[in-house]
Amino acid sequence: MSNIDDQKPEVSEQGNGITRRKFLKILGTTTAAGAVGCSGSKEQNIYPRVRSDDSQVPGVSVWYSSTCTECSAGCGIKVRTVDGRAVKVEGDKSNPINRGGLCALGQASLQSLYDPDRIRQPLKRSQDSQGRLQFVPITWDEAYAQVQQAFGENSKKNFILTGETNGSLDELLSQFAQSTGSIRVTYDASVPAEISKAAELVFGVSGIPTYAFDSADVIVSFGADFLETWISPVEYARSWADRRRTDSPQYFVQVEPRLSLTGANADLWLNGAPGSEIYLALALIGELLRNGKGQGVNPEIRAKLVEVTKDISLEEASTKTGISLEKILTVAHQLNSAKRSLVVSGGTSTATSKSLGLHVAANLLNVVLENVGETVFVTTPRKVNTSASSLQALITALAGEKANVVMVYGTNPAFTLPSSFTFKNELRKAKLVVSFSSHLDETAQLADLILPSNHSLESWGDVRAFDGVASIIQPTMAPVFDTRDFGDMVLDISAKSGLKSPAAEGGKFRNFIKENWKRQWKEFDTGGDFESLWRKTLENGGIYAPDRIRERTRIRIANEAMDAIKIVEPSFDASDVKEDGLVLYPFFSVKTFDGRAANRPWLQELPDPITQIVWDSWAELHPKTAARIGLKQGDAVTVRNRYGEVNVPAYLTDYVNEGIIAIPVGQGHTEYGRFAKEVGAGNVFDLLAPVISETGVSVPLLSTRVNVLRGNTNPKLVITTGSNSQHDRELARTEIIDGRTLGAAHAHGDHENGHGENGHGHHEPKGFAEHDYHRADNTQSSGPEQMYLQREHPLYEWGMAIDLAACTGCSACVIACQAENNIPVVGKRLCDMGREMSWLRIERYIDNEPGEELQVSFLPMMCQHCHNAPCEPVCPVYATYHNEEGLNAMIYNRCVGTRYCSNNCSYKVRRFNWLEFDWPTPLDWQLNPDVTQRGAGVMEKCTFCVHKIIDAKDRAKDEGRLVRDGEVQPACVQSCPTQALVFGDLNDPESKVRKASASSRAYRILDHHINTQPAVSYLQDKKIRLVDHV
Amino acid sequence: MSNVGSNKGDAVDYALVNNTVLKMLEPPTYRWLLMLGLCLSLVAIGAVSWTAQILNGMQEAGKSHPIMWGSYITNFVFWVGIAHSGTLISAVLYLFRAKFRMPIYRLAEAMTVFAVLTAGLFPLIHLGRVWFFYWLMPYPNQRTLWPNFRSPLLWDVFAVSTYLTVSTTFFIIGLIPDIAVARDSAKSKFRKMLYSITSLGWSGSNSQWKHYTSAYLFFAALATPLVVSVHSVVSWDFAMSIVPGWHATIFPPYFVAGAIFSGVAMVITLMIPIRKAFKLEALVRPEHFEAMSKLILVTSSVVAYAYITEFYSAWWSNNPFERYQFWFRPFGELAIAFWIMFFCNCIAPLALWYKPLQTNIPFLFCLSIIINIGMWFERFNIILQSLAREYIPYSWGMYNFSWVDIGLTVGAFGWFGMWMTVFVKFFPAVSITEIKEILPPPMREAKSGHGH
Repeated sequence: MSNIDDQKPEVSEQGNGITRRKFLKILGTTTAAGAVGCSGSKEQNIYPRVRSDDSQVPGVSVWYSSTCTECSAGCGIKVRTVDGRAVKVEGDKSNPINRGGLCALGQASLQSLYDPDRIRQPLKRSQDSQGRLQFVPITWDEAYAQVQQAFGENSKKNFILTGETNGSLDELLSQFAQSTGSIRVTYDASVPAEISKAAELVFGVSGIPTYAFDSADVIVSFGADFLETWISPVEYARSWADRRRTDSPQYFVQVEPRLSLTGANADLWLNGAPGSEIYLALALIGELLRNGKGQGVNPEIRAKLVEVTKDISLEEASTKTGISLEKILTVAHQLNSAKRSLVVSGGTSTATSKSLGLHVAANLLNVVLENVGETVFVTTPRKVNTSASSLQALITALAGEKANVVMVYGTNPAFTLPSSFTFKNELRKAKLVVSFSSHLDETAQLADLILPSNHSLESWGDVRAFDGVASIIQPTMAPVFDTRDFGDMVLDISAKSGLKSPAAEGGKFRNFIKENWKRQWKEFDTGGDFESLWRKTLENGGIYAPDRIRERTRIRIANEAMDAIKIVEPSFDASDVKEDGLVLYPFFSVKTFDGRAANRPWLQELPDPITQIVWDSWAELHPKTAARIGLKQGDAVTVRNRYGEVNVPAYLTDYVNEGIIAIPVGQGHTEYGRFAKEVGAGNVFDLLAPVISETGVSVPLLSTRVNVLRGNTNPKLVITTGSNSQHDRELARTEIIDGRTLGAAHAHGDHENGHGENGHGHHEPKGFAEHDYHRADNTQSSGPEQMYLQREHPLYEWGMAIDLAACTGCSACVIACQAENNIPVVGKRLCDMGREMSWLRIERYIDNEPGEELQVSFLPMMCQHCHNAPCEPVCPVYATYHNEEGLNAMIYNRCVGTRYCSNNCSYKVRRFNWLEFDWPTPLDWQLNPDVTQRGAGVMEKCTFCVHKIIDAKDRAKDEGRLVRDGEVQPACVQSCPTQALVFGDLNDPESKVRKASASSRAYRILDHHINTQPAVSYLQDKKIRLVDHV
Repeated sequence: MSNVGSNKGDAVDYALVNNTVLKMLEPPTYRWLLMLGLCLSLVAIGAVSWTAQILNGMQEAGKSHPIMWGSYITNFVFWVGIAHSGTLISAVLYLFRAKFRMPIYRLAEAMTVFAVLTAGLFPLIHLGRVWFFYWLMPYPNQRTLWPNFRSPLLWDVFAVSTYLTVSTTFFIIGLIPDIAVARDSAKSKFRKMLYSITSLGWSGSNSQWKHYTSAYLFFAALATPLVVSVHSVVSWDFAMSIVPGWHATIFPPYFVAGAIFSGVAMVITLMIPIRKAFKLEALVRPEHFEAMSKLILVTSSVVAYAYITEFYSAWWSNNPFERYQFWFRPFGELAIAFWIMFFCNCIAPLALWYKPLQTNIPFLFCLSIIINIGMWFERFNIILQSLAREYIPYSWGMYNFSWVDIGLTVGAFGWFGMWMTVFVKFFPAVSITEIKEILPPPMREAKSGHGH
C-alpha cells in the first residue's frame, strides 16, 4: 500500500495495544476472511511484514473518504476496506450533496472494481492465425513507446475523447491538449447539457442551476426524473423527502409520457403526448401572467412574454397534450396560489431535437413565479462540457482520415452514440486509437492499444460539484490488476514526450491535484495553512462550504430566450417507418443508467422499480397499442427502423402514452463483460436518427419513430412481483391529504412550522398508534389484551421504522443489503423460478382503479423481526429463535432445511440456499468478512445487520456505556438517500425509532390480522388529492 | 354381511385356502420378474434423482420462493394417507369383528407398512441438508441441543416412527402362523430357512394360539388410536401454521377421512390385479368389493363435506386472505388441479350409488385409480395452492416442476411396488389363519363335498 501512503483513514478502529478481546476478534475475522476465499494475488505481500503498517490491522476496517464518479453528481463516499480490499461503498454523511445516502449505482461501483472481465494489463490489437481480432498483452514500456511514436507524427490532428471530466483532470487534459496540439472532445449521454444552455439564455450563467426541492410548496416537473437519474438524484431525493414527510408536504406534479420512478412518487401524474410539453409550459406562463404573476419581471420582458403566450390557451394545451383541462387548471391554480414553487424540466420526455424551448420555458416559469433565489439558484452552477457537435466534428475528421491519435477515456460512444452517426466505422480510420478504459467495452474493443486505467476506487482525482463543494477522489486500495492511474499515464506520456506541461512532481497525478488545489484553496476561507487543509481534505473527502449559497440572482434574460420559446411542433425522424409507427422513448434507469452499469450483477438483478423486471431489457407499451399490434405481455417485440433493430419482450402498462414505445437504455451490449453481454437483444441507442439537437450539445433521445412488430424470438420476461395490486390488504398504506386545505397553508408559507425534529411531524401521537406500539409490551395495561406471556427485552429491543412518505423506491437499500450481507446474485433463470436471494426488496403496488388518480406504493420489505414470529415455533431444530434483544435470530449451522419457517413467514422474507452460490474471482474479494457465507440447504434472511449491532455493543461495553441511538445503522438505513429508514432501540423512549413508531402515521403490517407484533413499523405514505380545484 | 364361508355352496375349504394361498409363493414366473424389474427401474430413477439433488442442492427440485414445500410433502402426505386404511382394516375392523376384512386385511397391512416406508423417505428427501436428518431426533448430545418440541414437524417424526413401529409389529405378528404353514410346505432350501426363521418356531400348539390371539387383540387395540393420531398429526403440519388455506381446525378429521378414502382405494387398486394374477377369486369375492365400495362412498362423502366446509368457513370468516385463497383454488392459475381433485374425489365415486357398479371389478379398478389421483391432487392443492397465494401479493408465486420432482414421485411408486411385489411372492398375502377361522373345520362328512 506504499503507493497510497498519502491517504489518511478517517476512522481507524485501532486501540492502544491489543486486548484479548481484540485479539480474538482479529483471529476470528481473519479466519473468516480465509474461509470466504480471500486468496488474492497482489495483496499477499502486504501482511507478511514484521511490523505492520499503522493503518492496517488484519480484520479491522479502515474507511477512506472519496467521491463517487458513477454519474456527474459527485456524491461523497466512504469506502470500507478490510485487509487492503474495498468491501463496501457508503455515502459520506459530511458531504453536503448526498448527506450520507448513496444510490444503487454508486454502491455497485464495487462490482465494477472487481469485475472479472476487467482489462488486466496493457493490450495491443492484433489478429490470430485465423484472422480473428484479439488483444495481446504487451508491457507498459511498449505501450508508451507506441503512443509517443504516434504523437511524434504531427501531420494530422490528435483528439482526446473523454466523458464529462471535472476538476484537476479537466485541467490536466486541457494542458495536455494544448502541448500536443490535440482537440478535446467530451461526450456523455447522461449529462443534461441542454439545461445548461437554457440557463445561459434565461439566467445569463452557463451551467446547471441548483434546485431546492425542500423549499417548494408546489413542484411541476416536465419529465425530470430527479429521484432516479436526473443530475443529482440522491441530493434531490433527500431534499424532496425532507419536505414530503412534514405536515405540509409539497404538491408534486410530474408531466411525462411514461411513468418514471419520479412520476410514481407524484401527487398528480400527467401523461402528455411526447414532445407536447412546450404547449403546456407556455399556456401556464400565459395563464400565470394573466393572473397577475410575474410582477417583478422586467416589464419589457413581461410584455414580450404576454405576446408570445397570448395565443396559447389552456384549452389548446389540453388538446395538444391530451391531458384533461381540469387537471391543467389544477396545475395552474396550484402554481398560482403557491408561495414558493419550482418548475424543472429534463429527462427523455424533453429530449427532442428542439428541446431548448421547453427548458427555457421552464426557467421562465420559475422567473414568472419568482422562484429564482428561492428554489432555483444559479450563483454556482455546475459547468458542463459535453458536446455532441464536437464529437461529430471528430467523426468528420475520422471519415476524412485526418485523425492521428485518438485517446479515449471514460466514455463509450460506440455504445451510447447512435450507430447512425457511424462512429464505430470511422474510428478505425484514425492512425492510432488509444483507449484508457478499464473495461473492454464497445469503444475499447475498437482501439489499437489499450492502456487500462485504474478504477475510480483505485484512482486520484477531484470533483467540483455544485455550491462550492470540492471533493477529492483518492485510491482506497492498491489496483486489483496491472492498471495505472489515468492522470499518471497522461503525465508519463507528457514527460516521455518531453513536454513542459502538464507536469507534476514525480510524474504523479496526485501531486498535480495538490498543486492545482494549492492555487485555488484560498476561495475556501478555512483558515490555517494549505498543508493542513490538504490533510483535512484527504481525511474528510473534500472541502464543503458551510452553507449553500442562496442569494437572489439578477436575471438577465437574453433575447434569444424569447426566440427559443416559440412553439415548435415536435419532429420525429420517421424515414422508412410506416404510418402507425410509434415514437421511440428510450429512458435512463438506475439499473443500467446509460449502459455503464450493465456489467454489475447486483444491478442486473435489481428489480426495476416500476416494472419489477430483472436481467433484461423490455418495451413498455400501452395495452391499447399492444392490442392493435397483437401483442400480449411478454411477447417478443421487434422494434425496427432504417437505423437498427432491437428485439425485446413487451411489458404492457397503462402508464405509458399510447403513441410511444418506451425501452430502457443500457442493455444490449455486445462487449463489456459477461454480465452485460447477452442481456437485452439490441442497443436502443442504435435506433436513433443521426440528429444533434439545435444547440449542438446533445443527441436527442426523443427524435425517432420506429416500426413495432411482433417478434419471432421467444423471450422470457422475468418479473419479480407476484401481483401489481395489494388486493386491499392494507400492506402499504397511504394517507390521502385534501389538497384544498394544504393550498392555504402553502400560500402562507406555513410549512416552516411543519419541520419536525428528524423530519417527523409535530402531531402528538394519537391514542391508536401509542397503544399499537405498546402491544408488545406486557407491562402496559393499554392495548389489546394478549393471551400469552409476552416477550421481555430487558436491555435493548431493536426495531425499525420506515417512512413510506420519504421512500421513493430508489432501491439503494436493496444494493446496500446485498453488498453488506454477501447475498448472492442468482441469475435470470433462477430469478424466473422465484429463487432470488435478496433479503430486502421494494414491493411496488399500483392500486388505483382505472380512471382514478395514479396511486403507486413502494414498500421496503425485510424480516420484520416479529415478537410473535410465526417462523420460530415451527422450526424443529431451533435454527431460528427470538433473542432477548428482540431479534429473530437465524443460526445457519443448525438449519437442516425443512423450509417450514419460510412457509409460515407471513411476510415472505426468508430465502433458501438452493445451491452453493459462487462469486467469480475477483468479485468474491468484495465479500464482507464479518458476515458468514451460507452453504447450500440453509435458510437465511435479514438479520438487522446483527454483526453491526454486536460491533456497537462491544464498543459500548469497552467504554462502559450503552449503545447510543443511531450508533447502529444497518446497511439499508445507512444507504437510504432520503433517510426513510430509522433503526434503534425501542426500549429507549428518546430514540428516533421509538418516536417514529409512536407517530400517528405508524402501523405494523398484518399485525392486526395475525398478531405477529413486528419490530418494524411503517409510517403511512402521503398523497395529496385535489378533489375540487377551484 | 356376507363373507367367505357363507353358505353359497362354493367349495371353499381348508385345502382350497391352503392351496390357493401357498400357490402364490411358488417360484416366480416371468411376469412377476417383469413386474419386479419395472419397480426396480422406477426405484433407480428415484435414486438418480435424489442423488442429483443431494449433489447439486435443492435447486434440482421445483420448489421456489414462496412454494417451499411441493411434490415431496405432497407425496409424503399421500403415502401416509395410503398407509392409513391398512391399520383401519386390520385393527379397527378386527375389533369390530367385521368379517369382510379377512381376505383383504393382510394385503392392506402390507400396504400400510410399505406405504409408511415410502412416506418416511420424503421428509428426508425434502430436507435441505439431509445429512443432518438426525438433528430432528431427541438424542442426548454433548451440546445439550434438543429439538423444538413445539414444532409440528417434530410431532411428525414421532407420529410416523411410532406408526411404523406399531404397524410393522402388528403385521409381523399376524404373519407368524401363516409363515408356519408356508414353512411346512416349503420345498426349496432357501424358503425353508427363510420361513423357519421368520415363523419364530411356531408349532401351532394350544398355548401358542392362546398367546397369539391375545397379543393380536392387544396390538389391534394399540394400533387403533394410531389410525386417528397419525394423520391428525400430519394434518397439524399444516393446521398449526398461519398460512391461509392451512390454518383450519377441520384438518384432522378431514385428513383422517381422506386417508381412509385413499387407503381403501389403494387396497382395491392392489387387490384386483393380485386377485387376478394369483387366482384368488374364490377367496376375495364380490361381497368384499361391495363392502369396500360402501366404505369409499362414506369416506368420499366425508371428504366432499370437508371441501365444502373449507369454502364455507373461508367465506364465513370474512378473512380476506382465506377468502382469496379459496377463490384462487377453483379459479386461479392452478384451478385444473382443484377440478381434478373435485371430480376424482367427489363426483366419480357417486357412481357407486348404482349398486351393480359396486361389484363391477373393471369399474372399481378404474375408480380406485381415479381416487388415488384425486387424493394426490388433494394434497397438492392444499400444499401448493395455499403457498402460492399467501399474505403478501408481491410474493405470490408458482411452482416449477422439474424432472427430479417427477423422478422421485415415480421412484416412490417403484419403491412401494418393489416391496409389494417381493412380499406377495415370499409371504402369504392372504391370511390363511383368519379365513380358516370362519370356515367349517374339515370333518369326515365334509369330504363328501357338502357343506352345512
